[in-house]
Amino acid sequence: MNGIRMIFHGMTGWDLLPDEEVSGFESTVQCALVNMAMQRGSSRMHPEAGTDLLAQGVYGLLTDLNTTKHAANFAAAETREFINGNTASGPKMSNLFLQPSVFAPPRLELNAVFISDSQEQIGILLTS
Amino acid sequence: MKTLLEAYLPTPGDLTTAEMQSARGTLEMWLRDTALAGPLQDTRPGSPFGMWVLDPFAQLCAGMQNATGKLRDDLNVAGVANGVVWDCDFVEAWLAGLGAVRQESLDVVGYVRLEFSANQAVIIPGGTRFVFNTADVFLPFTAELGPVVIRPVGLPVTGPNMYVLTPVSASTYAVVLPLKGYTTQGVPAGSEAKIDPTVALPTLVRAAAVTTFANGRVNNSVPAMARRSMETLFASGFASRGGVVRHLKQTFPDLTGVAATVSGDVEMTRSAATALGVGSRTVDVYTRSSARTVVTQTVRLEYVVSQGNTAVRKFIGTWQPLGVATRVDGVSWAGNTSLRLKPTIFSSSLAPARAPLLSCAYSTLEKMEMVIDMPMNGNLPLITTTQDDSGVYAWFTVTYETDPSIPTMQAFVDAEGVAGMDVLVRAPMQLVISRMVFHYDKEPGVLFNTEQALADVSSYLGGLFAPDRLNPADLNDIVYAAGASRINSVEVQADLRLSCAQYAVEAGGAMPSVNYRVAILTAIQVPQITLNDILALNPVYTDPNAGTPAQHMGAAGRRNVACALLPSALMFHHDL
Repeated sequence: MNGIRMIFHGMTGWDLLPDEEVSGFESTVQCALVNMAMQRGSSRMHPEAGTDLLAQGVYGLLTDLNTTKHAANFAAAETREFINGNTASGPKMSNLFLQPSVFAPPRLELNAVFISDSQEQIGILLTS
Repeated sequence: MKTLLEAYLPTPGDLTTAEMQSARGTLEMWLRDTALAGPLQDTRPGSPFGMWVLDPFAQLCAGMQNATGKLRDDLNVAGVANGVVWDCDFVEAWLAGLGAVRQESLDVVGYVRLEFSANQAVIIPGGTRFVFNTADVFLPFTAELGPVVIRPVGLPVTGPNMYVLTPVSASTYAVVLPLKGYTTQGVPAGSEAKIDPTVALPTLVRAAAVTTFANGRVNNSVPAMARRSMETLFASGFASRGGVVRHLKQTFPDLTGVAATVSGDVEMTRSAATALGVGSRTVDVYTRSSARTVVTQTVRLEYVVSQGNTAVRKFIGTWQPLGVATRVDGVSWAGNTSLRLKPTIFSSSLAPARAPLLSCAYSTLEKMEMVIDMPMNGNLPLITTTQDDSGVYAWFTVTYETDPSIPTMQAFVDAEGVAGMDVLVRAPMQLVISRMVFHYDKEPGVLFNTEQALADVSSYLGGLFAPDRLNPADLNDIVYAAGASRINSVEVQADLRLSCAQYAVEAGGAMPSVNYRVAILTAIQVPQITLNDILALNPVYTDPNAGTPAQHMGAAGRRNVACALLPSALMFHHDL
């Protein structure tokens, strides 16, 4: 299953590279990244797509590290569920970890690690 | 006319998630077909191709699917008739192809009573205008194009546009003529019509509306037109029971009820016997029109002192009602209308091979003779007879209900020349309710609205005819609505009348004017069917002597019985 590559630039946006393709688990990861950053309910086609993570950050609900970890875990679990549910063929995610790597309000950085059902891993798991 | 997209494409907001996901699923299935789409694309939510290509296309497909569904709805005449229309202009044009077009005026069928001063033949040209209210123009509504031929009393009807005069008084002869046209203000009963001055009718005394011509309102909504188109297709002949009903209802908008009985129905007695035991192709059409009215007619009856060596001392004569009589309300001597008389009516069929005995009742095939005993006060006769060159006779006032539409419809059916079918138009059997008393309780302080109950029950019973049936629960609801808290009982006195006559004379049998004594002995008595239970007011009656010499061939069932409520029959009694 082939997709078009996207490059994410944090808060400044993203680029679409039509000449480059992503395939296999990379394509799944790309979909998962989009889903994690997407506001839940913003798609009429897929109302269940997206998470509440961005809204929680924007509205100042991520007040401490524990709350942020909790929200990130939720977003990861929901994303894994949604993407796997929409993956009829190709690699699925067996695990998705989303951890705060920098928590210095108003700045928040998250580290994502994706592990496929064939144990292929993208991202590095942080130790705390 | 709007374009397809303007008329049918919904706004994206009108699409449901299910519709969009269904379309997306279909497109995905297409894309997975490698023969069509080449390399397998990632179409999942969140993938660039999925979000920016597949989702918008899926939304558009869902919109087109929705639009196509609406177009199909518009092409479904039954759906349109139920009121769902997406593009009225398109549907109107489509319905025009099925024969349903806008009606700018609504045809009204009414009946005019023409009174003549002489018993002479009259010819009224087909296009003669009858003008009511100075502007409402009606033309004779004849079964076939051509002039209306009015024949003197007693002559037979041999053509479709032929009518026979009925004597209504010593010097007046009348005929009821159907008219068709339009009215903007309505024509009240009794309104006089002005006839084309170019038409010479020297013996015409008066032309007046028999009943009120209701002015209809044109319903040109698209669903109404769709219904008309369905009825047009359905009513394209007399091939089925429903077709008969629709056909007549379309042609005669003043009909308040139509029912058809065919071979095999309990109400059909004309098709009972064929040589092979197969029911013949007969249809009895029972109709009721809003033109039903109570008329008073003055009838001349000869005073027959004796016939041969047998003393008779009765007034006997032919009674030719205007239209088809459905109920005789009373007979009195014209010289003293307070002298109420009880007539005996004998019925015979003008076409016994087609409709013998009571199977011709309430139709144009029924011929009736009336017999009235000379009332005596001791040895003194109470009626003064008149004697002149034409005989000894007296004039009697007969009050009866008639439906003038029956002969008109029979002429229409005959002119249609229904192939292989014998169609007889009849008025329904009359279930005459002469007493109906509701015994009710009410809560203290609650006012029972008798006026409302009277009006509602009268309206309910008076309009009852097939396919509607009397439902006691409906009557109870009306009485509860008027204020009753409980209905304890309902007293009913009703009788089912299979004919206006008391006797039916067989083919070739003696009529009273020929031999009263033989007639009374040989004629078959019409059964007196009395009903005293409200639950029995949907009667089913078949001739118990069917197939024997004593058969009368009368029958009643759910398709041919209509209710009639006599004045003052209805009462409400509060049980204390």
